[in-house]
Amino acid sequence: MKPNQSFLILLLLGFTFTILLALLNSAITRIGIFIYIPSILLFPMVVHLDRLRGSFVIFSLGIIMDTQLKMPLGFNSFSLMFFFLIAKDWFHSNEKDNASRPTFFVVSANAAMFTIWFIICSIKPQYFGSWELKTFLWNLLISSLCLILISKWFFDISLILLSSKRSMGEKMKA
Amino acid sequence: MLFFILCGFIPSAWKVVIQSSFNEFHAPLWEASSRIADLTDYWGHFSDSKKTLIEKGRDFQRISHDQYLQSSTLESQNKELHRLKMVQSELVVLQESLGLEKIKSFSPIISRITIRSITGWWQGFEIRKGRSNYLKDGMGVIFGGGVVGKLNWVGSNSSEVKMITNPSFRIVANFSGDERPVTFQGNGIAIDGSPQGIVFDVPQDIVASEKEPLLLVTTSLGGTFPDGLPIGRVFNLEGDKNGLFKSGQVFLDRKLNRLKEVTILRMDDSMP
Repeated sequence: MKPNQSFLILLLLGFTFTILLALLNSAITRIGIFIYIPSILLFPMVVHLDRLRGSFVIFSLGIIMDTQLKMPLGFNSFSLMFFFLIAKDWFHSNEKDNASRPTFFVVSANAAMFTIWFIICSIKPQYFGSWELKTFLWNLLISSLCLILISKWFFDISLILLSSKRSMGEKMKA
Repeated sequence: MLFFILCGFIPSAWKVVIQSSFNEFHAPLWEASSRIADLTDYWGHFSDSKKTLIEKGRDFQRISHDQYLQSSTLESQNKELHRLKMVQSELVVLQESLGLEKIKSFSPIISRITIRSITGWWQGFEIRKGRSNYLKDGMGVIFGGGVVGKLNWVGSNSSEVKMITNPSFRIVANFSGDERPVTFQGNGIAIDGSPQGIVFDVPQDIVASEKEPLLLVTTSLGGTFPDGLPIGRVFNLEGDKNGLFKSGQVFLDRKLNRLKEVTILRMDDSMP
């Protein structure tokens, strides 16, 4: 498949996912739960896209998340891009047979982003809003559990979408 | 680290423009999803069971009887309305003769909520109305249980409301029956989903207890809300660090983060 087609499919998949996640959060916040899982977008982009296209997709989706979550513009986009570039190097230099490693990386990146944001909020509560440690830990736990459960599923969906597009292209050629 | 430094150098005007554009771009998506949810709810009732229909019929009968009772007092209510209008016109004449500032009047605008954004650091939601309904930044938002928040950003057909629980939400308030001003600030939503706030600058002689909680209400001093709208209840007040004033936790209405519809208090002077 052409790299630009994969780029478009993954951009649309990421965009749809961020919208659905925002709608889910809108529904479940009434019971005091908030799910923050931007790093779920990392792995499909690392596997299927090159550095340039992957960075562009990650950056765009990061800005969408910044706007949705009322974070300073650039926090998610730059943090996700940073972890994307690390993951890109790590993925190509490590053995790929261990299935739990990508999940571990994604969960760690997510926890790091969440913690950095909590620290920023604690340092400058007048600009970014104060946030109780208890609520932060609860949200972090729930988000990490969700990430473990659905990161594999999200990656499989990207595989299905890309392979179905590929088979459609082959059929058309035949 | 380099990325964060780069981010810091982007001019804030650009950030505002990009953020505003993204908000406008998202708004139709949230509106569509909210309308789909409403439609699903509507069609969902077509499959209601006989038992549900009987229960709803019973509720409807009760409401009808209540309406009948209220309409029987219509004549006395009309007399009271006439008397109040006379008092209001006398007040206007007195205000003009004394050269006092006019009392702000509001028009209620009802709007559906499209999406909630209730995170640890931010509590707000988007509504379906915007500049096309003459809404402006800073207008007050209320519901049946009291204050909900203020308009934080107004787009062409959608607006963002900063909820009363938001830590950056501050208004002047007072306790019901006491005209001295106190400060209310949002304090987020607890793990169990209960919305909370903090009240500061409370005079030392005011006492609250579990048996006799105090009702915190709005004051027109801030200009956003009229007098007397409920904010929340205070069960305990303790001395501040400086010892001059008291402060305490405010328990807000639990329905705040489950709302589907709100009323915006549009100031009449904002109309063209």
